[in-house]
Amino acid sequence: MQQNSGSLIAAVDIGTTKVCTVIAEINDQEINVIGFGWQDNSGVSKGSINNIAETTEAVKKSVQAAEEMAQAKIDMLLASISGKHIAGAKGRGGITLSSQKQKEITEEDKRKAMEDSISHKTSMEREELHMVAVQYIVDGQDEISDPLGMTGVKLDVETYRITGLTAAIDNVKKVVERAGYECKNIILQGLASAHSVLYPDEKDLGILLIDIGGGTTDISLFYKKTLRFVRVIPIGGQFITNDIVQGLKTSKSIAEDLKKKYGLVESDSVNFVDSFGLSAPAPDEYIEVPEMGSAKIEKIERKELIKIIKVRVQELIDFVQEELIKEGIDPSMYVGGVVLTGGTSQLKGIDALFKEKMNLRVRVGKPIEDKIIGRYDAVSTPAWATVIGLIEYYVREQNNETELLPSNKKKGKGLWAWIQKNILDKI
Amino acid sequence: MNTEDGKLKFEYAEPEQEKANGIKIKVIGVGGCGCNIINDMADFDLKAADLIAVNTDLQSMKLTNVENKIQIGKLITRGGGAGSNAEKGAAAAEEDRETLENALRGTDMLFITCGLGGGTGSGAAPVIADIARSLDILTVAVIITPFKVELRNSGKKKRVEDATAKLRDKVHSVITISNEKMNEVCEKGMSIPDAYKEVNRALIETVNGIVNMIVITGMQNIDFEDVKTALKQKGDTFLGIGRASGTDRSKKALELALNNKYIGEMDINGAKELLINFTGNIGLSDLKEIENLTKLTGNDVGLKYGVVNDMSLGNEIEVVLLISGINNKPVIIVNPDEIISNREARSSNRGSIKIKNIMDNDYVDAEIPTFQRNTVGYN
Repeated sequence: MQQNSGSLIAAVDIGTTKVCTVIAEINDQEINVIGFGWQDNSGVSKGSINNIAETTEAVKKSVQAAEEMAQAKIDMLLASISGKHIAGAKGRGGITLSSQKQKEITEEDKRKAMEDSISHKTSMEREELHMVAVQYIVDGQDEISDPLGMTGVKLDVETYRITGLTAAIDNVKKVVERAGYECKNIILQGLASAHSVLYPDEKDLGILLIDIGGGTTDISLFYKKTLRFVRVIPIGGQFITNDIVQGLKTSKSIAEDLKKKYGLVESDSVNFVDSFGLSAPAPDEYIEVPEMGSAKIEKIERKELIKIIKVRVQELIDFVQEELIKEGIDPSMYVGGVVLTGGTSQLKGIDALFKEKMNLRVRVGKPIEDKIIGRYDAVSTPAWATVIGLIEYYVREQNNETELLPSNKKKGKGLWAWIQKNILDKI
Repeated sequence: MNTEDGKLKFEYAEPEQEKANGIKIKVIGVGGCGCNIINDMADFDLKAADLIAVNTDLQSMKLTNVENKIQIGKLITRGGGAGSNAEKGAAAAEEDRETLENALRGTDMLFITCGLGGGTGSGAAPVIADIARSLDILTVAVIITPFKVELRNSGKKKRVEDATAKLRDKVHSVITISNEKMNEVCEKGMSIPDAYKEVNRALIETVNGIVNMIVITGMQNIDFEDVKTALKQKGDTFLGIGRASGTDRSKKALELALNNKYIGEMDINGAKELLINFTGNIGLSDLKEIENLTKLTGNDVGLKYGVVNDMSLGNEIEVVLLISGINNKPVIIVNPDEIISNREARSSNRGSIKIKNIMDNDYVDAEIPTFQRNTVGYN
């Protein structure tokens, strides 16, 4: 191999049920997954870290597993954040450009206009996570995605700005640092997932990404290629497990098993019964449930389990719809439909119920294969959407910079990278 | 006003003296409860506004100690009450429409205040609102709603609902003060008349707050036009007043203002207009609190603040807060039919009320399994 050594980048998704890590080698825009780690975690509740020591330990183990597999040592991590403290707000700002005629708009002008859109300074307890330009307006001409090099007198910008509680953001930093790594960047979970599971066409048309994790459901809306809305509902797959614990009076681990093995989300759609080969509704089916704290095994109708799950998911869908209505979001902004991702989107039949209730095109999204080589097989499920997305987010952000860590590993380029470099970039 | 044969006759007091800033403000109390409020207001010495008492009941009118009294429906009620008949109340007001019109002509801003549930207030107030509207007067209805127990009477409940709906339709803003809140706000040992006085006081402070915002010219001034813009916003209106001194006084005062117990809790997120008036020896640090307030409303709110330097208050400051356009989320209509059908579909979802409760409660109850919460509409 030649000296076109790629750069190593590592990301960690600190979730409510698990901490997962991916180490990838970046060559151009291609992501080569060379190591991954998965560690159960109970130091996070509803997306927010509530036990630093426990979570630090989980991060350590998860990253170490990935390092061992990759046979590489990393020292920087990208991390995800979620929790109901996340808030997004629209803003509008503008600047008057220099009175000299024919002065072209610079990056500096764009930055100033964006800064102006923050009408009130963020308070001490909140911190900015992301800010995107929804559209630029030059002398009244709107829907400009990038005004760089244009001339005009007045530059306005509409922005969407996402903030989180400083305390919660600091906790993520602390956990990563105490595990022994530098925290390179913190990215909103839903936004990260969007980078790994959504197609550009979907983002242009308008799409709702619903990332259902263990403790939270992150909604993000993309329309005309930009992020328009985010909201975190503090409900996730853990709640379903808990409901089963309480409904069937069994332990958490058994409830989790039952959910994965026998759980499904019932809907009126016939197709899904076929595709899963399940006899739902299952009138005669019984499942064996060990009682908590004893060797006794009880036979329970599977219908009962299915009902517990269904009402929870139904309610979650209603919450999603209510949140959209509350924000005044018009359905025309997501005609592309819904993409479900995150660990809980693997629940059988969940997409069919979403489809039935929201009356939209619904698909379950996993990291898109196109851009990933190496151990794609290992990360090809929705549970890995965030962590792969973190890496993609970073790669795209740093596209023109070389801030990445130089790696000692050498690796050839994939076909996709070649196409990208020689064909796509020239179009 | 003069009395002939024991009957009250209204004569218009002229020439009308112009109030501060040339803005003429009037408060009209309708029905028994409304007249009581007007009485209390007169005691309160609300200088900047003219007070008018309107009622059908001659006896109670005699007890009213304001100059301007209008007895309505002399023919239809013969000087008695409207007997919990809103139609009678409305007919009484229609009978004297011209008199009312003359009384209101030339007014810039009008407060209509009444208790809902009886005949005169529920019936006549909407008619007066209609007159005000035809005269293009900026009108705010400040209404007192009955105790919950009273609302178990379906007739009364309907009168309250009908009158509220009619008022909402005709006036620019409705501020509701509930008697029910009395239980929460007043001390248990308080006598009934005192408790009613307490509610009236809350109402008067509300009116007074708006009036002062308009008539007192501060160094940084909120004027009539600002209040007009705010009150013309669709949606609910919130008004609160708070006073505090000492460290963090502006914060405390704002908190008190936001906790207007009579109006109850409102989610002001997404509100359209926000007017804040500071009175006292105001320093820069006091104004910093505005920032925290805009966090609650969101940054899109139209913000306007006023500062009235009044050294006589010493270390104390007074904050008056007027927030309008609450719960009026913008809806971009693409296909009206579709939206209506969506709404219908949603309203048919019997579980949606419970859902809203959980959402507005920051999802606190969400940890209880859905199946145990008994949410109807799911199967």
